[in-house]
Amino acid sequence: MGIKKTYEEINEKIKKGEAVVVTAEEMVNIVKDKGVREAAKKVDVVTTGTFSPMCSSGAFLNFGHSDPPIRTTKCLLNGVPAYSGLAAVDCYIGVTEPSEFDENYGGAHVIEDLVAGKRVKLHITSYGTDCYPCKELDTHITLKSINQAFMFNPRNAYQNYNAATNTSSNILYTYMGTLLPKMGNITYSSAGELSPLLKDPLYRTIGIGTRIFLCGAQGYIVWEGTQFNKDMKRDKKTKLPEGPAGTLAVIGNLKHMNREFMRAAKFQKYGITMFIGIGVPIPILDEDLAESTAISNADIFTNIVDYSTGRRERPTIARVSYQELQTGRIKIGNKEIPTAPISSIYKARQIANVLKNWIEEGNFLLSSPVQNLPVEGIFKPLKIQEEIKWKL
Amino acid sequence: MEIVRFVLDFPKERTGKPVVYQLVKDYGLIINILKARITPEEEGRMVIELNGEKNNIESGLNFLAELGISVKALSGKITLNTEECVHCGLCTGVCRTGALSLNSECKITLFAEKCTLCELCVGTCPLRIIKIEF
Repeated sequence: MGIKKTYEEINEKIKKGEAVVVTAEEMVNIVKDKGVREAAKKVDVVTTGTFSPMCSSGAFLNFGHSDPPIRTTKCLLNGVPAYSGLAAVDCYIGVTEPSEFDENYGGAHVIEDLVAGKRVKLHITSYGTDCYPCKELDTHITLKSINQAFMFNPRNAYQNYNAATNTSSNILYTYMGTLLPKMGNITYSSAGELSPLLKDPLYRTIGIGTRIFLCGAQGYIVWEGTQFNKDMKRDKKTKLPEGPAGTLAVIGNLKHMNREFMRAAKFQKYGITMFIGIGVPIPILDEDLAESTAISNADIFTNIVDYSTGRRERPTIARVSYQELQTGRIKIGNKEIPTAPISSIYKARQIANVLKNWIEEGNFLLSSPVQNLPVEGIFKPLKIQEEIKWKL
Repeated sequence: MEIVRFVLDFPKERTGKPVVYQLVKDYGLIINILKARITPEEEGRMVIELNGEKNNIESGLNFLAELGISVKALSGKITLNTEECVHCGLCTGVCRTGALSLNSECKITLFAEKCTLCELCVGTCPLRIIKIEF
């Protein structure tokens, strides 16, 4: 008989403080020592974590109404434009939006400042309507002074992102960091064996409605992330995708977040983004989940791709494991190339441990997905149509 | 023999003329260029390591001074704000000397004595918390 557990049974154990919770790194060793069956019997929940720059992130804010009221057409937060094509005093501040006055400050900094409890300057303009006569206002807001503030990130936690290198003779400044000429370095951006979507590759327990750790708050997965690739080839044994595949759209209350688990970032000659901290708990419902949560860095392979082409399809230079990448040096042909992460393993580990503590202390219950994420479908590119070029 | 490091500041009118060749040929110095930003018609800066006999180094430096190039002993300092660091590791990807590296806990460690002040990490750090002051 195989081992079977239900969400209800695991949640009962959590409420009684009896659940056995381990981090994904710990699970790798437990399965190595005791085998899949024993691990499945013993362990109830495996916690994962990642802390990486995730550009498709931002927050919805509702400021409350002024007197006289205003219907926002343009809104600046510390000089950073927030999207206002919504109802009167709602906006969406995206992390990559740059300030109109300072190239080193952007939406991510506004969000970080709000979470840090700082005052943020708000400037609103409008054309004025009969019901919203006010045409311009200036004030300050704080996270406490506004009605709602929730982070809503359309694409986070990529499943198996590529590693990057540069074969050209020029230095490249990319969202994968500074890439030195002639394959002078390789950067990679996944937390490897701690990374959420690598531990449940076919999304059996990670779906819409899954409760997660999001930047220090309890958040939820709300949809498949944008650019979710259902079409990626997968390894026959581990079911891991060969390249970037699944992504998550997530939501969480900004008012409960902690700056320790999020940070505004500026990538040289690329722009602004934000480090987002995410942790997903995986219930060990059976032996298959014990096995997948124990996939180790030695079994997680990614492609090293050449960022010097400036094209959509970038050539793959080599395929390497995370075990190799994390040694800080890999050999390609006769050349030893230094490797560097973009994603903080230190923070990923911290997140997996915080989530573990929450569950152990009975403060975080697991939720089963109300709908699963897709594993089949088409992934579409965009075609440029020169013949309809916009003429100004 | 001794090894010493210097910062050379080139005035506009000197950036078009080669000087390293003379240092090698006339003064027998072994030169390691740690950093150079020299554009014709603009002020330039070069950080070099000189390896040679003490009197040759002195003569070589006098030769540079006569050309109007300002020579200062390298006394830069690198600092990392460890309170703010999130240990992403990006700086280790551009650090060629191991001055910035990840320790066994995957935390960034700074070995300032290994730093050659190339400044690549300064712009690479996404939190802008590595500073180099000359």
